Amino acid sequence: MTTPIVPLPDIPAERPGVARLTWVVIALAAVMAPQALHQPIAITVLAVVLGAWRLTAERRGWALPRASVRTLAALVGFAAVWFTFRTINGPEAGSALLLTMLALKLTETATVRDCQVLVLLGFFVVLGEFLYTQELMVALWLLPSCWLLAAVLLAVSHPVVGFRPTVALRASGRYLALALPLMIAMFVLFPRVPGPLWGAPGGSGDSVSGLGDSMEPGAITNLILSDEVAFRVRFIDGEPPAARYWRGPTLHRFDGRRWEQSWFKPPEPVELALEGGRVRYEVTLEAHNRPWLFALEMPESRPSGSELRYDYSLVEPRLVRERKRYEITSRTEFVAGAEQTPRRLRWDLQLPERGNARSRELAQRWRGASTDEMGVVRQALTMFREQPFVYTLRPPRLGREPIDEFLFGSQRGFCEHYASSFVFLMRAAGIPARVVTGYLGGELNPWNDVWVVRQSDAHAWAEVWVRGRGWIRVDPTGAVAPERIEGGLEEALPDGEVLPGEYLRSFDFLISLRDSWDAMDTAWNRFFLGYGPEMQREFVQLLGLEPDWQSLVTTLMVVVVLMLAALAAWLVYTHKPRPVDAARREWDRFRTLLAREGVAPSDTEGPQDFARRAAEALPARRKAIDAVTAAYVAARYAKPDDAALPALRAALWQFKQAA
Amino acid sequence: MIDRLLAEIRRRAVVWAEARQGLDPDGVVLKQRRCYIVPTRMGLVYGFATFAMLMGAMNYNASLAFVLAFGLASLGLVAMHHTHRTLEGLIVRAGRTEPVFAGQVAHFGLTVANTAREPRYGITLTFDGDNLARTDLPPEDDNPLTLPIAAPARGWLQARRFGLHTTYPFGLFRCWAWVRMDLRCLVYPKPAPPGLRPPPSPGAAGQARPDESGLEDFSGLREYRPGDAPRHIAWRVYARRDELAVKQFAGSAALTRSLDWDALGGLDTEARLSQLTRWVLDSHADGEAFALTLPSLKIPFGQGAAHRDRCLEALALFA
Repeated sequence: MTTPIVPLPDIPAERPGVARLTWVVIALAAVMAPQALHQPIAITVLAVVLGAWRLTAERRGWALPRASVRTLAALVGFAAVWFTFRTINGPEAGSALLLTMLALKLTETATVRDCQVLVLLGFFVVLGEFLYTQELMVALWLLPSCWLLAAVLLAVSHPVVGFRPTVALRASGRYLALALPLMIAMFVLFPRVPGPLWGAPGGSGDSVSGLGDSMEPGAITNLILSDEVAFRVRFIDGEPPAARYWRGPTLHRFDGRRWEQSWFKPPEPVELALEGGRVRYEVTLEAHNRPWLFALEMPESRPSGSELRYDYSLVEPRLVRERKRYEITSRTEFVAGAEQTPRRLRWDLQLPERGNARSRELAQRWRGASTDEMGVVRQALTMFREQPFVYTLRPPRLGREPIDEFLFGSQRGFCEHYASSFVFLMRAAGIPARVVTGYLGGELNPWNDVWVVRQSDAHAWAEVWVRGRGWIRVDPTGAVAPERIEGGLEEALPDGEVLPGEYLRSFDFLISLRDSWDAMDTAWNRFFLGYGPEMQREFVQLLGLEPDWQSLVTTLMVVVVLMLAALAAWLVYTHKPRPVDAARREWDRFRTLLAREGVAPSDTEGPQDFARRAAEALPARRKAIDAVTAAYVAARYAKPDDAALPALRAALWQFKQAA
Repeated sequence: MIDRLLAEIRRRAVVWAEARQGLDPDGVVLKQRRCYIVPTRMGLVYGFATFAMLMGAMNYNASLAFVLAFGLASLGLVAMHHTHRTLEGLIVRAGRTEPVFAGQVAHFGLTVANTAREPRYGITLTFDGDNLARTDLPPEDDNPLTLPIAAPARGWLQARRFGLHTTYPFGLFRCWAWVRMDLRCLVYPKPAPPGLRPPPSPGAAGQARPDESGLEDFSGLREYRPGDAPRHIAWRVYARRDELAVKQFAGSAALTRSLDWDALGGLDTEARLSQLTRWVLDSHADGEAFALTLPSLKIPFGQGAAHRDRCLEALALFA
């Protein structure tokens, strides 16, 4: 007879059930997917297996593993991650640990609270990926996944909604849309601080490609096979020159096979007389884990903090580990280092003790036959032009005497072979010379007028020094394949050699697709990813605010409070009851109008009876009276309908017009 | 010791709060002033996680990580307003409450009504720290909720304040309001165990009850009146004439009982009331007419559910 009171459990203590658990697993799979591309395969396998197992267990009613088993699994997982990465710090190892623990957490997910924790961990997975890469593509995948996560959080937290995923998606979508302005305000106004808060954000340098500080046969070829973007350039003022040599590091030391940067760091000032037209442009350099910046020959201004070195290369005090944006003005004509001390030039005459005897001999012969240095240069270029040298990405392997073998044997090579052998010949002839590495050319993206310079545009050329004229650029590759200088790599290559992206070039619309994507990517990089302390300062000043953190915080507080007040007001509006009394007010107005016509209102009479009486008194206007009455009855007593009140107002207006 | 002290403090706080708040009218609207909101445990974890993400974003200066951290923070703030809005403006009406017997659970009927054009989800009714019922309200709709409270003693059971809360949408915040309405449930005395036979009615003393002896002295038919026992209905007549008739028996005085307080001398008040309650129930079940005599009140012979309820109410409220 007595029924005991059975309380409901708190929502977090409830069991989620198959449907909600399935949604949790789907959302987690969505956020983990991009990580699968770069994390050890074992983690992906573990996550997939445990996810599938957990769902089956829920369906079949299998018991979850005991605490001891779970602890053991967690320890093994931790150890596995530790031995793979030798650390648990940094986005990559941290994410690996997080993914492993998340997969293991699935096996003990029993309650709604566990599901909520899983969703929160899912957001951390997204964070890990964002710290690892900020590609537009990844963002386009993960941001909608965050929406899914939010929907799942709502669904697991609310039993009834949970079984209707569309309701959860729509509701959480609405909350996210309402959160968007707040998020933007915080993003723009939250004071950004330069530099890391603790430790240097790691990131494996190996995965970043770019020009190195040395050059040996094959080094640039490897680079050229990559279609990755090295940097992007937007010209602000002035015509971009036809031959766009983007100067990077110069290489001085030669050991017979390998060119390296000079060890010697001269304190002498850079001697540079600039002439010719000015070009002003903005470079967005991708992270390449080296200190140098690239500029058109020769830079007139330099980005603050950077240094113009004795060899006219621009160097940052720190390695470029993040995408960097800088503005430079270059002059296209110049006299660089007209006077140099013999001591200084020694470094540009250095050659190994022996080796490549035939080349040395050839250079000596040229020197004897020429009256000046430029004569020797011309001899060398003539040789490259007239003898059957071939420009190819697939040069044969060279042995112990690479210069001799190349010049007198294979005669097939790439820019690095030509630059390298040319500088060797010059030095052998007693002319100071060096190898310059950098990029040549670039491709204009018509969508946003940005020049894209890719790793495949990497190039090596030479410089010789002539007293009184300074360093003169000589590009021996131009003698062999003049198309390379102004055209591009693919034009210079013989038929049958294919560059990455070559097929793509044969379809205009694919090119245009790639260009438009790259334009988006550029905007993404410049305005979104590049939004740091500097850009914040500029932007905030544009808004007319002081760029110090106090004013930023104050402004942010005010903006957030105003936005929340607006949200609260809007919510009051949406939760207001339907204005039934507005209909009543209209009706009262109608009765007042009729009272003036002599139909006295009576409180004991319903609207229908009143209307009948009014129609009897004013038979000419029966139709209008009936219309108002019908609209009033519909608005007041029928099922709630948004259109009823306007209909009543319209009918009343009609009635007044008819009077 | 400390637990007891805390419990006492809590009890007094509740008493003070109830006194301060007073009684809410029927159809009370939960206004902003009385809707309190705090983060749940999950909400605190969420806040901490968001902060940790912000630190990570600052360390790596990663714009997307900033977007994630600020996005979660904004979502939390928006969710907080929605949690508050989900409860605020809810209308609570008293519903039907059936009387119960002492020792049973009183089920106080309530109706929560949503006049907004937005749904309200996860409206949970709590009493004494227990979640007792949960409902979702579509736009412009209402749903019944039942508040079960143990009814230990006869008389009027006054429901103390109860709570309504929700954690919608994400379970990060909990918004609640206390409501104390004039909710009363009539609690009848607990019926005594069956066994003790009701005293014979005056004028028929010593006569055996016809239904027990098998002597059913049929005397005629009369028209059915609501409250007549189904077993006295003349079903054959019903089958023939399609009208309900009730069989009457000779000596129907034997079928009436006088349930008298004084007949139960030697028992204490509550035991007497229990016994009388039992007799009222049994007599009603047997379809007999009965009268109830209490020291202060005499209810004349009668029959049917209304009569029974009147007698039970008198027993419940006996002072």
